[in-house]
Amino acid sequence: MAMAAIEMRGVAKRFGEITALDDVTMTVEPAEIYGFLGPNGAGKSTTIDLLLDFTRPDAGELEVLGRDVTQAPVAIKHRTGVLPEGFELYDRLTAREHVAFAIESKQSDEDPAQLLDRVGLAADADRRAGGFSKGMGQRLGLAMALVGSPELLILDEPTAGLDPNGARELRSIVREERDRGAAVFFSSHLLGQVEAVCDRVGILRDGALVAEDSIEGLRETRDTDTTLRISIGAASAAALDAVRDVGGVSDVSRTNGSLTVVCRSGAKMDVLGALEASSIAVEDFTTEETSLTELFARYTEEPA
Amino acid sequence: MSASGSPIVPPAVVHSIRVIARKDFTAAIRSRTLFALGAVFVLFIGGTAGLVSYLGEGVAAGGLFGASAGGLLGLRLSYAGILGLIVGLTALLAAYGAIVDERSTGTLKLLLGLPHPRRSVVLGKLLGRTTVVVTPTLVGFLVAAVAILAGGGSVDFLRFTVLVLLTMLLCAVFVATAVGISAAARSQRRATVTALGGYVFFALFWAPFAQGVDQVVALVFRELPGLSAPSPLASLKLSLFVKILNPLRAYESLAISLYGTELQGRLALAGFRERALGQSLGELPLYLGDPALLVVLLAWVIVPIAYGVARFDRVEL
Repeated sequence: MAMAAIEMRGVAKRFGEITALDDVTMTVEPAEIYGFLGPNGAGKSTTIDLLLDFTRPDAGELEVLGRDVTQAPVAIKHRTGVLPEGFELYDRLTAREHVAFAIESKQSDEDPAQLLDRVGLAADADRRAGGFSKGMGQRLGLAMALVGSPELLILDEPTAGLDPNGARELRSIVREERDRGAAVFFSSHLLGQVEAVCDRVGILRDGALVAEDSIEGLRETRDTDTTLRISIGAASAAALDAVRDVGGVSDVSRTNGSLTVVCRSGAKMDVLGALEASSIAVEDFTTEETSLTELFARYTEEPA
Repeated sequence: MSASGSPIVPPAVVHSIRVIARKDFTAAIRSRTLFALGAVFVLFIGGTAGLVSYLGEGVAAGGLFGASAGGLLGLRLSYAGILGLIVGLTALLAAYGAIVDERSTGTLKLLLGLPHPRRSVVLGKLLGRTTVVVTPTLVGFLVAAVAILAGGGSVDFLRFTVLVLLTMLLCAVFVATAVGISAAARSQRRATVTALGGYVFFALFWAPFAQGVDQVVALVFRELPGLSAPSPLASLKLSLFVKILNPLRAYESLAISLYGTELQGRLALAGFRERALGQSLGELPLYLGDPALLVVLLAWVIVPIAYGVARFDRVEL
């Protein structure tokens, strides 16, 4: 196997009393999309700051593309594309000038117009970035990150400010980059975004990597937690019995007028079917997406 | 000019400095504030030259730029002294936000996500902002030369060129100091306070400070056993030496000696009473010669930038 895109061993970082990262060990392979998932404040940004040499670790080793981050940050950035979180554009420079700046900085020889076209900003190439929306800013940031066909893309909350269409375009670019052979480090607090595009996920909570899993593994864990609320005329014991034995259901409870069913999402229709078969009229039903907190709970309670 | 602050710089760093400087220049010249500062500048140098040659019917350039205290319409300040104050303030205002602004808005994340060494950011900003300030300076001097020649006056081009170079160096001094402050500052507020506070100190309070230094030294010499109070001439030398450590005064003194003598240049910094005494100085000591003043100005470029590089290299963003 070729060298890892990112290799972290026992990395720790403290800010005064606060432990931002605690003994994090993690590997991102070439040509994979690695989802870095965790709620805000979990330490995702600190990890990225360490990978970019914005801050330095208190303990452990960080290697990016086979080089030590603290020793060779500039050499690493020549081969890496970065879309930072919470960045700003240069108000007085145009979109084209931004991309040209990245091209000159990386001593690459691409055409800014092509990159802008790829992220859907061709028509805005000569507009100053001062008037850009958040979403346009993200697109421009992505175009700059793509300069020089990097071996590693570090994307921090890349869908922030993007509409669903923009998020879909982003995902297709991310897949194209992976297929070209680039590793993509995709950091997000949004489960859905990570699930939709990543090959593998690492879950960070309170500065510790609590789980690493394939996307299938993540889906299974997530599906087990789907919660279905069903309003029925009278929540009888019969209704409870009808649902309890359906495959994929892990828990059923009854409050007056409604049932709460915890099941895999694939079992939702089976649950409704079972009620119908028992001649129980369903007035309404809602499903609740698994929250990130619940997902963490599952990963920490029952180690994957 | 920018690379003067660092030792042998690798080609990759030179490339990076140039790329950052160009970006910075492009963004900075589109700022209206900076344009206004430039206009003030062109109007001052060009305007005074135009006015003086209009009133005086054919003055020599030296009559204006070399005018010492009392020589210019009886004012206490010399022309070079006023020019230095304006150049210094313009350069400071143009550059004190150079790095700290990028840090607080978040553009620095974009910049340092690209393969730029930290010191390239500091040196690139020095080069970019110096160019921003030097450009209107050159235009101002050009307008001044044309105005003087058109008014029937004369311009000694060798001296004039040296004066322009000297003024460019003063621009670099204040940009370097401002960029150094900007690189080291944690917040925009702190950068503003340090830069403007420093300016006020050097512009207004340096002379009292220098006097204080003299008095303390004199006191120490008087009180310590085995030493005697320094002679008035030694006191004058010390007082002048402290004064030339101020870049504004070093520039002023050099500009005056350019059109006169070294002694005139140095004594332009002294009070009226000391000037009479200064006539008996004769040969100036090495540390009061023109080369020493140039060294002072160069140090004002190198030291703040080296400080900024050292601080910015280590800081956690």
